[in-house]
Amino acid sequence: MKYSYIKPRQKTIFTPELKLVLTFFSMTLLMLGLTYGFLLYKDKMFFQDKMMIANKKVTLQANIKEMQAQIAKIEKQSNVSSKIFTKNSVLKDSIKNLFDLVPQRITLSEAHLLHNGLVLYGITPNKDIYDFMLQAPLRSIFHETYSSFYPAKGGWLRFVSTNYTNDKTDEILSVEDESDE
Amino acid sequence: MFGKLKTFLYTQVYINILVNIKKTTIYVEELHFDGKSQIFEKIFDTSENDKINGYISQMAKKTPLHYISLLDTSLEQGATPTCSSQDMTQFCDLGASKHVCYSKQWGYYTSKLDVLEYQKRYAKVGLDYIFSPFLLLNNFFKDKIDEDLSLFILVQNDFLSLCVFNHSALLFAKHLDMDNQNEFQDDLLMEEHSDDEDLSLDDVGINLEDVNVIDDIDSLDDFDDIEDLATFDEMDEVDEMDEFSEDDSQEVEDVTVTQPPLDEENGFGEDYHRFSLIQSAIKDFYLDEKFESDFVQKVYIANAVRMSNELKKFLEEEMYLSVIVRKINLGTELCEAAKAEKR
Repeated sequence: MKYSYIKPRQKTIFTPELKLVLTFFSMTLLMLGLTYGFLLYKDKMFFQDKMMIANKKVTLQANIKEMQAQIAKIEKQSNVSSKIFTKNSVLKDSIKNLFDLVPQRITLSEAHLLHNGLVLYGITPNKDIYDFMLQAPLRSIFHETYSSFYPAKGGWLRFVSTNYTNDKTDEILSVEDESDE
Repeated sequence: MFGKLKTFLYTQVYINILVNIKKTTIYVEELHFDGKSQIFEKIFDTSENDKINGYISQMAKKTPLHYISLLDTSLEQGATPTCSSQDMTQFCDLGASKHVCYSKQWGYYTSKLDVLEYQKRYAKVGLDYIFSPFLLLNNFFKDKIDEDLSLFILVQNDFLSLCVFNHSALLFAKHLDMDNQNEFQDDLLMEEHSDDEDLSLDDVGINLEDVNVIDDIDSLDDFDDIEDLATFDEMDEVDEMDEFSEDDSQEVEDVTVTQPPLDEENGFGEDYHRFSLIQSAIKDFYLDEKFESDFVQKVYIANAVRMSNELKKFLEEEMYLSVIVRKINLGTELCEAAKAEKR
């Protein structure tokens, strides 16, 4: 119905007080929304970090296991190497002792190191030199000593000296060496 | 939907301004969402413009949904039996008037200058609606205007608004100023002119005592009775004699109403004055060829003032009219018009 001579003024519900309240509430809601969004983002990031760390942990655990296995293997290898080193040292000392045992005038052509014995092949200028200078120390070391001679060129004699301790042995260590005295 | 939200958030305040020459009544209805209402009424001297604006501002500040309505008191206002601009020109100057058509049947108009004057006077608080008293009269007697030809009168302190309806068709309308002494004298002159069929300019300074407006000399005796009857007790009886006194159907929590006391001596004079104006207006209706005249038998009076029973008596006894008086609260009616307009 339009029965008034004039038109009514536009009525707005947005009074200054309401505008202030709405601004305050909208700001509050905006801040709450932003905080909520930030928390959601942080939560997502935290979850992603957590997943990443869990994966890393699994990988590291696998690496640790692998490294532990490697360490065990290396320790084993170290033990083996130290054993071999010890054995080699012992063998080296034995050979050194053997060579120290052989006089200068006798030449060894072959030597067989056994677990419980020693077999020596060589040439000697004569039997006496052999008996006094080589057989005598061998008899002090081994329990049983057997020697056999074959004539060689120039009046020299080839000899085979077989020496055993009381222990029986199957293992034979062979060392071939030629020493020029 | 948005409108309902607005009314849910805020109470609606209808501020209605009723201006008379001496007093201005501010009728305020505060309407809450739950249907409850509070009514405030305050009367100011019309000259106290700052106080009036202050009170209106104070009421308007309560809510952004405030509607300020004014009842038009322009002397240039009237109503026309037609809505056609072409036909309206014989009743008013369309260039200088604002006019509104009612249901495409009849229209009412007022002076553009007066509307601007109102808007200027209430520029501080602003105006939303300016309603014609003819619209209020039409709304108030909605159940009667579709009946046979009747005269409808809105009686205010300083104004009379008359219109004649015949089966909802407006035949005649006039807005009269009670304080316009010249008009009153002119009316009295017209009476004599109608009696003598000759207008004598010597009679301009006519005295009320000398006026012979009543043909029947016996009825003059009633004046003594009138003085006797015009006591406060009988005034109450007169009020009870009104066709009905409509109770406000709305729940009213608080009403602050200040009614001015009725001046007994002035009451009679005013009623006689009103009677004279009505009589002259009816004569205009009968004589003026602009109007499609017919014999008026029934008069419905919307009484907005503490009027005595004399006017009714005058009309019944002097003009042989069947008179029905209803009390009208102009503030309420103006408020209802504003509510209807807002819809």
